[in-house]
Amino acid sequence: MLVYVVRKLLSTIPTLLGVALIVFILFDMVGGDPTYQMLGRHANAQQIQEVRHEYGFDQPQPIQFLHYLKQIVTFDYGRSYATRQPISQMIMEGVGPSLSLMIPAFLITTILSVSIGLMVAYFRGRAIDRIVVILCVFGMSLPMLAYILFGQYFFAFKLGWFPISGYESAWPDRLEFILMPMIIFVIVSLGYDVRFYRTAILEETTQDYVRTARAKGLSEPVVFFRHVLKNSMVPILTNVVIEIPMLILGAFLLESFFGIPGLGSITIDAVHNSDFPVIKAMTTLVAFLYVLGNLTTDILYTLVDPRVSLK
Amino acid sequence: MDEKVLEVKNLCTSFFTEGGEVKAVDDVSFCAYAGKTLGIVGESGCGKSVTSLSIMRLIPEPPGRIRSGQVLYQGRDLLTLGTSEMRAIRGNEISMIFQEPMTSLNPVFTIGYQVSEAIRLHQGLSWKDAYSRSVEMFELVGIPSPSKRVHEYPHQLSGGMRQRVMIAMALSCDPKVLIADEPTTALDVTIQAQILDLLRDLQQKVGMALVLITHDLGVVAEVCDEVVVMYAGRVVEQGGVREIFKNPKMPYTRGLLRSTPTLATDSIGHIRRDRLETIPGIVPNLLSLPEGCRFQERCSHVLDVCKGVEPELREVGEEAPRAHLIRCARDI
Repeated sequence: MLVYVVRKLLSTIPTLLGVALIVFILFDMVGGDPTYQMLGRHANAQQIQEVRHEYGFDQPQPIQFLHYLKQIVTFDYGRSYATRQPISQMIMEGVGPSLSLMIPAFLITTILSVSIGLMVAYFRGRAIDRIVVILCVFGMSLPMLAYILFGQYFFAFKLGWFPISGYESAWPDRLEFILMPMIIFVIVSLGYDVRFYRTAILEETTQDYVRTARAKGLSEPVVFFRHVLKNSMVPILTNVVIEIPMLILGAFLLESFFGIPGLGSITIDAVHNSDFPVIKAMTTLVAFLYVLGNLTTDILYTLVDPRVSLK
Repeated sequence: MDEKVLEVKNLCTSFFTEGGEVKAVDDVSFCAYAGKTLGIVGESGCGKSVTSLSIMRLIPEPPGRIRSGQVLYQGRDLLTLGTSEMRAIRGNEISMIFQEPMTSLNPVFTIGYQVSEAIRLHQGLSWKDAYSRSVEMFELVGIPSPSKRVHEYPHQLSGGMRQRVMIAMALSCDPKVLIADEPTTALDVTIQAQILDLLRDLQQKVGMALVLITHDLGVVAEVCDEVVVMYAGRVVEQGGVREIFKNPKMPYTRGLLRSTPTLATDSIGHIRRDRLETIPGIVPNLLSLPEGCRFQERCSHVLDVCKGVEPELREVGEEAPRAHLIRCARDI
């Protein structure tokens, strides 16, 4: 098992290098010369030269790439153009607010949607199943923005149940500010997730081994919760892990609308300001989280599916 | 006199589709006797599998439904039993093995677990005892090194071995009836013979009734005592295996027999490679059956009377111990 994990871990290195290379090339091409962005239109040649030297833009591309790799490894992405703060420090400060919003939101969403998916798959074709599916489609059809505006106007402004926006880093005051965006995230994700899990589970119920289990004389709950559920774990796990890196960015809208100073807000601000080093750092971070997420899925597969060999 | 263990009486099973009601099994009757093998033959889509799933009450509802008829097992009509009573029958008194050994086992449980599950359920044994019984069953069905194999997963076994596991599972609770739905269709020819031999041996040992569903007349000739020929949801000919092969009456049965490959030699001893005969046309759409005999469109002996009323199943001879029945208007 340990050998398997280590080998999988090593096998991600080429992928990560590839990801880094693509990000580097993209930013090199799209980003243009950042010196002009920093100094504005009235910079003289002397200033331009100094800045180019300071940031290493006068170096050849391979050297710059190595510099970028060094940034990744040492987790030191330099300073933001806009705020002049060290980027790693900005990320460290943003992680807390983001995670305190997204971890509970993600856990609640997953637990709720898997349970509801199981329930409606078990009662497939009955009234409860149809009602839930209709609700899911309805929920999926409304964009997150609609929920945010409705929540802020109705529950925060009219009823005063929550603050409209803002953030407080001390507990338990933080909860008050996190609660509404969290609920909105859960509601928005539920529609898609329930439908996904329902379909994944239903697909298993038509398999031949289900008929065999019934022919053995097993009761319907045993067939469903023992035989079907264990087989559905593969698509369920895949979906859960794929969503983890999205959590950071999924909070884009929520964080910026509710004024939560998390990674989503940082990224949106950076985009507004053409703050390329920050955008580059965030892109790298999310890409790496994706690769690590897939690695986790691969390892978890071996626990639920004996066909995934450890060799 | 043979002991009658299972009697299917006037079974009708339909599927309700958007195009209307599909009568997949229409007024089918037959009996299975202890220690004897009943073959149900016919082309794909003639209602063989639906018949067997109806006996087990494993027809997916909806869209399917058993409309009418009786399935009598030891005097009880299975179709009137509650779901928990029916579960006590399934896998215990009446077992079933399926056509697809590759997919019929659950891929994420060990084969030992899957067989033990049935044993535990019906015989109330502990896991430990159920596992040792599974090992015995694996030994019985000829799985090599059974005590090691119980811990393996289905994907580690070949198709033939998986079908042996299915047989072990089906027989683990000493059923009185075993329904085998095309058990050898998905297997290599050499493995087919092994599995058929195994089924026949086990039947001799346990004395169960075997209902063998197949489209392979060679298998029928080798294994069965009695044959039911089905066409478009109907029984069209029925009788003892010798009688049916020696003296087939219904043109459909004759067509089936003629379309079976044989190794004939000519006068100087060379193997003749004649073209196989086929029955022209295809099985009619069950949604738009012709009036009268269902086989009329493909029948080479069709008469005017065939296009009016569908003939009843009638007796054409008494070849002991079973009657020879046909559904054909022609005077043969």
